[in-house]
Amino acid sequence: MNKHLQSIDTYREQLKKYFLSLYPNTNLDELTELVQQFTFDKIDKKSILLNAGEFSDTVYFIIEGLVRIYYVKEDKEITNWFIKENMMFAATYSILTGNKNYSTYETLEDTYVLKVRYPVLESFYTKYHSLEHLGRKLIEAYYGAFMKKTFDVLFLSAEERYHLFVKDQSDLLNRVPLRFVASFLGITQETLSRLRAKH
Amino acid sequence: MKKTALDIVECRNRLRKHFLTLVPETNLAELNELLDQFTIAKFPKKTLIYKAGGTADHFYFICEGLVRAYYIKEDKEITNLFMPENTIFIGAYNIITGQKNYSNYEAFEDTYVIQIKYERLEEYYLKYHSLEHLGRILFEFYYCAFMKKTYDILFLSAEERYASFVKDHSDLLNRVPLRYIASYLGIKQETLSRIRGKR
Repeated sequence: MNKHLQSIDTYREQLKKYFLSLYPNTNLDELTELVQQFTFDKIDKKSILLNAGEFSDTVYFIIEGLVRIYYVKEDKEITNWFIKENMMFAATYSILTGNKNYSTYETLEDTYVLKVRYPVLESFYTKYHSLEHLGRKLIEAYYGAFMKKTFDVLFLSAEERYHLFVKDQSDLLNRVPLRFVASFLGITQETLSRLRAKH
Repeated sequence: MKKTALDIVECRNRLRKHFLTLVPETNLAELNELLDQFTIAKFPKKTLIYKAGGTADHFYFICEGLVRAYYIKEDKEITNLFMPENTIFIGAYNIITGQKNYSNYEAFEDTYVIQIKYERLEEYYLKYHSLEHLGRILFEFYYCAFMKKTYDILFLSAEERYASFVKDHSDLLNRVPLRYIASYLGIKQETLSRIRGKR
C-alpha cells in the first residue's frame, strides 16, 4: 500500500460532499461535527472485513478502493454488491435487526476508508434534526438501491442487466475479475463473454 | 362493502398506538397534530389501489381488511406481500427512487384505511424533529422487512418459510386461498399442501 496519504481533513471533506449530495440542506456546522467522528483506516487488498455469520455495527465510507459483498449458496459464491469510492457500506441487516449478517465483505483492492460505529451516528441523529433527516435519506438510499437490485434481477433480461452495468459502472469491468461480474449479473461467465463480444 | 364500526377517531387511535409501539419517545402533541391530517378511505374488495407502472403518492395505514401486493412475471401473478390490519403500506420504490412501481396493490377484502399524501407527511417530518425520527425508524423498519423477505427466500427451505409464515401470520391461513400463500412462499401449491399435510 503506497498511496500518498492526504490529511484526514481532506477525506472528511470528501465525505461531507457525499452527505450533501444526499441532502443539500444539511446544516454545515452540524455536518462538520458529524464527520469529525469518523476515523481513517486502510485495509489491504484481499482482506475479509466481515464474515457471514458475524455481527458488525461499523459504517464505512470508501475514499479509494473497492469492496465486494457476496454470499455463499449451495457452495457457490454469489456477488451481490461492488462498493467503490464515494460509496458507503455497512452490515445493514445485522445493524437493523441484531441478527447475524448473511454476507461476507472482502476488499478487492487496497482500500482507504472513513468509519464510524452506528450508535455514534444515531447519537448525532438524535442531537440534530438536520442530521436525522440526512439519516433518513441515507436509509432511503440504501433501501432504494437494495430494491432496485432485486427488481433488476427479477424483471430485466441478462442483456439488459449487462447494459445497465456497463452504463453505471463501466470502470469496474477493468477492476473486477469477470467471474465476479457474471455472478453479480446472475449469469454464467460464458453468457457474459458472449454479451461482451456482441457489444 | 360490509359496514364497519370504525370511525376516524378509532382509526387514529390505532395508528397512534402503532407509531408509539415503534418509537415510544415520539412527542405526543406533535404526533396528534400529524394524525389530525389523516382521512379515512375505504376500498371495496378487489379494488386496485396502486397499479404496476404507476406512481404511489399516499401513506396508508390499514385499520380493517387486507391488502395484497403482487407483480406479474411471465404472465404469472407472484404475491410478494400480505398486509392485514395494523400495517402501514406505501409504494416505497416509487417514493424513494421516483421510478414506476413494479407491484400492484389490491384490496383482498373490504378494506378501511386512514391515509395522508406522502408529501404532506414529509412536511411534518421537516417541521418536527421527533416526527423526523419516527420517519427514519419507519424506513429502517420497511428496509428490514424487505431484506428479511429477500433473505428468507434465498436462505430458508420451503418448510422453514412456511413455519415462519404460520408464526407471523397464522390468521391469514383462513383468510387467503392457498395458491396465494404458495406464491408468496415461492413454492408450488402441491409443495405447500405436502408441507401442511406433514405438520
